[in-house]
Amino acid sequence: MNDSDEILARWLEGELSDEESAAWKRKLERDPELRKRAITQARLHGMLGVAMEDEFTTARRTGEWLEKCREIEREEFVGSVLGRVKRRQQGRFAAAAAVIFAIGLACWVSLRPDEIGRVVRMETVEWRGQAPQDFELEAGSRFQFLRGLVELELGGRGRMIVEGPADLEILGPLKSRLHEGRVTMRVEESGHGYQLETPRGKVVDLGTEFGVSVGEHRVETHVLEGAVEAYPAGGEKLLLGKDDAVRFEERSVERIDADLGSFYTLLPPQRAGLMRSVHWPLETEGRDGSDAPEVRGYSASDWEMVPGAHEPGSRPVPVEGVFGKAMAFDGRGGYMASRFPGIGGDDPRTVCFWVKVPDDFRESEGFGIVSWGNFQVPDHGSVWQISVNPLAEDGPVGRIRVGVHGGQIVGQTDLRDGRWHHVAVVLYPASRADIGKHVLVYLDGQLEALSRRSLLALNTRTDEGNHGVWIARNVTHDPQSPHPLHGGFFRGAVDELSIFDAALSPEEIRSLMEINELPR
Amino acid sequence: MDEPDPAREWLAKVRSRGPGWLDAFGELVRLHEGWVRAYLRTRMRDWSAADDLAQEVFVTAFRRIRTYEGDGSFEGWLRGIAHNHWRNHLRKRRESPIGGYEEIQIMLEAGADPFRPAGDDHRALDALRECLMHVDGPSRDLLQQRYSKGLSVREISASCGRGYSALTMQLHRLRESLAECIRRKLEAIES
Repeated sequence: MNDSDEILARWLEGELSDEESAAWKRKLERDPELRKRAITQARLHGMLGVAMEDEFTTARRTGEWLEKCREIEREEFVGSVLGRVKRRQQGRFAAAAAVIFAIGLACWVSLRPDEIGRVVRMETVEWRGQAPQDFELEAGSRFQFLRGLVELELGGRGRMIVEGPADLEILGPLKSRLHEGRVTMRVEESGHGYQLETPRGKVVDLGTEFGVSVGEHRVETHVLEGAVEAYPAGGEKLLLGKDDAVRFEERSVERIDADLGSFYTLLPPQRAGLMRSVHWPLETEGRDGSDAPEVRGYSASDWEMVPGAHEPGSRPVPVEGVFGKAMAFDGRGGYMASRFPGIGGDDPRTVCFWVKVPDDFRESEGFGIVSWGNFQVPDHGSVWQISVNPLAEDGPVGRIRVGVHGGQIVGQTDLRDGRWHHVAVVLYPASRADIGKHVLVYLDGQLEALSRRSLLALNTRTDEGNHGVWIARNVTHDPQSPHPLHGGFFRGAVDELSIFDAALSPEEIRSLMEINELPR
Repeated sequence: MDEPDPAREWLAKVRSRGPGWLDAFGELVRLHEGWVRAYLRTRMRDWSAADDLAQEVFVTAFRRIRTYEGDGSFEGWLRGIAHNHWRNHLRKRRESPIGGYEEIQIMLEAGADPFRPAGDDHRALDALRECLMHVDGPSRDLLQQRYSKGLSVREISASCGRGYSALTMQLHRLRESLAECIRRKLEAIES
């Protein structure tokens, strides 16, 4: 590249100083051949931006232009009708009628209601203040809630899942403003160009699935599929494709790694058909303190929960439970085991139980309230275990933890209070395989805020295991070479353990919690 | 130059204002929006403003479609509207510095368009799209980052660790070879 070419390239990039630009202009004036090359380069520069644009962006833009033309057409139509009516008017009354007619016509043409959408589903929503009276969406509808999930259907343009705490304002058929919270949008073709405004910029859909989270200091946009345009407040447009993400802060814009597992892309599917389940009331009325399960849909009958102990621990002992008796575990070696292998692979499941965690909980006593699977290093995802999080590096200690070896989800409510809490963990498929499986945790019937929304590595191995479901035993614990910090057994009490091979609804979970009645 | 047949039908429908004329106008917009934007982006530093101006071009065309007599090409008529809008835009913002992008573009405007003698703007853009199908690997990635994602050369340089000059030089050479490819394709059409 010679000097002229270099200046030409920098000129196209807008990198020349004022002095260089003036010198460049003089050079071009003198050199016709250079002018020719500059024209060619500039033409290509302008054409490339258009030629390489994705079809969604183009379709959205032309859609907006045509909408503008239709508006003009409507205005001209109304204007011409008004003119004709005026020409025919007789007297003042007719003139007034013409004006009223024209105004009415204008309102009908330009303001006729365009269906914006409606609320189609709510999961354990706790409203901030009064709950909305109307679940049909209109411009100005506002959804402010402290916790829970709300799903909106956007008049055939797409779907939106809003996760609390959230404050979402509907501005029009193709526009809304997220003041706070997390939103996942899946937009259909008719909704391309949908704009989601936030306090630090806006996101324009180009035919896609994407998530936006609005926190106090930052806004993040993660593209799960397709593409979006992201506009930081006062900044230039960024085009984000699949697996791209960007973070807007007060004074910075930063491209970050997309986190596909940080948004709910679907709510649990409505169940069709019968569900199978196993329920251990933990009344310990059997021989040797074993507990006979209530089994539905499975043919096996030898799935009693049998107490056991490893040195130096003791077998679990019955204590007063939430419904009848419960079992208390010492955290030193006491546990219970059943031959029921648990739910394998990445199949949907729900695990419910009551748990009491002592307020003097120690970090070596958290792993393994309920677990199953065949632990194989380094086979990530081969086990399924619900614990009280003992590891500060994974999240706050003392919170519910769902782990699969190689991935974990941690809640926010501290369980170390010596009281009974009802726990329900629901696993179900996300909208796409690469997002993994979504996890919902209900604590005392309320949706719990989690560190992540899905688990990627999940393939619970139930085929070759030498044990089934365990209570109070860490599924990764090896008595021959115990981990010095993690501990092998849970300390606390457990009552009414149920395992289902489907995702339970919040109502079913609440019913189980309140009256201990198993859904069918 | 004759319009392709469907375009001629759309044009006739729009001018007659018969049933479906608005949809037909939509088809014309989809057919011509690319080269109109490229025409304005070539002449303006701010591509977002160029796209806004392109919208004005089509709104003007929509309002004045009855004045299009049909004796010249629709593309030529549209190019005239685009050119007038661009000149008005320049008049409104006379503050651009001596030797600034737009001022140099005014000077370059007097020169011959490298592609138009052999074909129209529309065909040049189509030819470019065909030429781009043969670009792959790192060259494709670079074009993608610069022209599809809209990153500046400095941003690309910072993210991939390659020098600014090397990237600018590579882009320059890619534009040169693509221009040559367009010329060959347009000449083949002419012959």
